[in-house]
Amino acid sequence: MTPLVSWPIARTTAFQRVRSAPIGGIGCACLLLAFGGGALQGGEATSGLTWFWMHLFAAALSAGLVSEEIESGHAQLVLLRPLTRAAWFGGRLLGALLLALALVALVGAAGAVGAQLGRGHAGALLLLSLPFAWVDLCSWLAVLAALSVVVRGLRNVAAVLLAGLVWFAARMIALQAAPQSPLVARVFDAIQPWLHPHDSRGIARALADSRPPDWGPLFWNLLWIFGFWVLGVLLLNRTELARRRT
Amino acid sequence: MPSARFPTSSTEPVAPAPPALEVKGLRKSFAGLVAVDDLSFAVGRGEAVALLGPNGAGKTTAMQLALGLLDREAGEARLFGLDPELLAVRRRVGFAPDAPLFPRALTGLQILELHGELLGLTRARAKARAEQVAEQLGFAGPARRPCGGYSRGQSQRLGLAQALLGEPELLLLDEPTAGLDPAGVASLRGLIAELRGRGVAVLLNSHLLSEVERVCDRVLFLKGGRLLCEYSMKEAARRAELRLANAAQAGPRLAGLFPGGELLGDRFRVPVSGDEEMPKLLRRAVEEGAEVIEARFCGAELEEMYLTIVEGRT
Repeated sequence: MTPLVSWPIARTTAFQRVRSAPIGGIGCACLLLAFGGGALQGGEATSGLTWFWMHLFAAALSAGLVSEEIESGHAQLVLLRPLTRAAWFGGRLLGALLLALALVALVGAAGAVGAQLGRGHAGALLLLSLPFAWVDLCSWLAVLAALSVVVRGLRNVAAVLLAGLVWFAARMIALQAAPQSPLVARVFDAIQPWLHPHDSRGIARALADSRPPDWGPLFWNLLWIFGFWVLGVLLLNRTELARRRT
Repeated sequence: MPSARFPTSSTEPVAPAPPALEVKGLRKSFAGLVAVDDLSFAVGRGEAVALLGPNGAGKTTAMQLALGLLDREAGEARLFGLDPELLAVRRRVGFAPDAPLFPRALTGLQILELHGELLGLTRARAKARAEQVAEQLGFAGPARRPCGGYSRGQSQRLGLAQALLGEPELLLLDEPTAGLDPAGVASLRGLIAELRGRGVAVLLNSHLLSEVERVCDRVLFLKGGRLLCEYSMKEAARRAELRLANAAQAGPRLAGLFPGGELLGDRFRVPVSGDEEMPKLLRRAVEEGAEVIEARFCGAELEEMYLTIVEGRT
């Protein structure tokens, strides 16, 4: 059976990306923020400014994740090996996901150390929120990795931001055009949650408070990861076959 | 009782092993410009074949079509009689592209280890094999540095190393000597000879005619994407050349003495069948009063052939 993921590709990708200066710099900023946040506020290590910087980390990690290899021609050399395009893309994505896992773990550790030093204790919520934070980051990474098959550099991030802006503008225009119609607002409100990954860290808060959690956001995010994984493979197949023709 | 699985009849024909590489009627064009047109050739196991032609003759495209890196508009390509797309076939093939680019952050050894693992070697075996090949190609030192700082020649050596990593049965080399220093060219020549000896089929695309002369069995002349002619180096007449101080006096005498001999300025050339004929030729020439300044073999005159066949010069 052909593997869906190439482990050597994943390992090499993680090693290759972690040596990038911007990624290392953003990662260090995340750790400092998590340490400071833990010392001053306690609670979740992946909250507020740290959470924003962790998304920046994901953005930097995904920039050129696939396109750089295709443009340099190294992807063609690698794909001459007994390796499917799906396994190659899976390996590139997995490498990025593993780096995100390392960041989440380190942010958790930095937050815990900060909380211990600043407040004398690190709450259970800090550790509980980490797996959900990782899944959330992974869902965004999967989207950006799939886009990096067809656009170079940080254009995948620009494409996501542009799509958000277009949606926001369309909503504003529609609401302006029909201010009296509650149906328009309801339609937009109904569609909007399906257009992006959700914040599943609420599950950790519910578990910490011994409330029944809503697992929906977690499953939704997992669906996004696998959906965009598949989309990335389809885009890669399409791009590669088009390159061969021209 | 004869076995149904293993026929015992000696008269039953045994199918010959298919060539390492075989292309038939290949055609490819880019934006209406024909790059390869009705190209057919084969490379047998243990044979080294060179593609020669001017820039834009379709040599690189032909290699990429054979490997399935480009889609064919017509024709077919088979590696070991099989579809080049098959994963099992790819394990048996090595390809060194012209001017390869590698991830800048990784060292040469890390890239070789990656390719080794993709070929199915264990991590430890891939590491050992990477170091062995880097050593063999004379870039063990640079291989420990990130590729971002590599010169053209070092990238070329890394490209060759990744092609050789899996001990391929078929090796396709696209301009392998470009950017290599003389020592690199010499070691590549030795390597190709060694691979041929081990039964590896080699398809070489190079402009370095002297190297092609030395290592290849056959040469395919291409122009405008078409095969102009095929030339067997074995059949090529090897010639000895004597540079004479008194060519005007001794030259005509030698030309009358040796069949096929010709005088070109101060140089006398004569076809020979082997190295052992050179001392005899020298002795005889001196006996005839020739004052020999220099004696050498001048090979198959591939450059002359190239200019005649490809460039149309006479």
